[in-house]
Amino acid sequence: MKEITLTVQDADGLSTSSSVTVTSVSLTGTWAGHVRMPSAGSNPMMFFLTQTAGGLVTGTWDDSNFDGVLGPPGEPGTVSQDGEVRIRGKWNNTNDDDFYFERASSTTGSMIDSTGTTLTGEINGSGVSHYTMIFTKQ
Amino acid sequence: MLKVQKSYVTSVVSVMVMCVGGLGCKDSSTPSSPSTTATTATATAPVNGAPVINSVNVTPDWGIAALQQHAFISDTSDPDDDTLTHRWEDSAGALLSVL
Repeated sequence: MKEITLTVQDADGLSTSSSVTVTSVSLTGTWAGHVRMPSAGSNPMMFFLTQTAGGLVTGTWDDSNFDGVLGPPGEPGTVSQDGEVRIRGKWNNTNDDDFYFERASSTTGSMIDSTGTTLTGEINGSGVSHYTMIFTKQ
Repeated sequence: MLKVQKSYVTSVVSVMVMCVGGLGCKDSSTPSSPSTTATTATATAPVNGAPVINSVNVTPDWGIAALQQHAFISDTSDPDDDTLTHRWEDSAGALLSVL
């Protein structure tokens, strides 16, 4: 949250000020959720994300048993101005199919809440379909 | 827009000199000098009033970092109808805009 202050001044130097607050949220950080993947059981799942210029997102994931890459080289994830996130996930050291973390097709609006602490979407791929995931920023 | 007319403070002092007894009078049979009335009017300079911020808003009030643009909107006025300078700064003191 950032405070923005307006100062209005007349020609004689008399001034008055007032402030408003604006919040900029980012995917950069550690996000904790919980997932039940066919090959991984039910585990806490962590996303370690970095958001860079233009809304590109890269990082890694880890569910205690397995881990992998998010936004692999050549295919970084994206976050749009309206808060839609789409990230491709790859597995390290397994032959599992890739998955996507993305906005549920049945929803609209931002996947990130206005406080920047909750990220909601679904996982498709790697044997699951429309698996709802809710992450909390650590 | 809020507008307040300039106010002038005007004071008026009236002094009347009268014939009281012998003071100011030659004798009772002699008509006294005509009464004199002095009036002083003083007008002070108008007091400059500070600008007024009637409202200030930002829309939207949140967004994705580096992607979302925000519009800052203010409604301001000045009791003396002075030209106003609007200066927007963030909490770190970085200047965002001067209008």
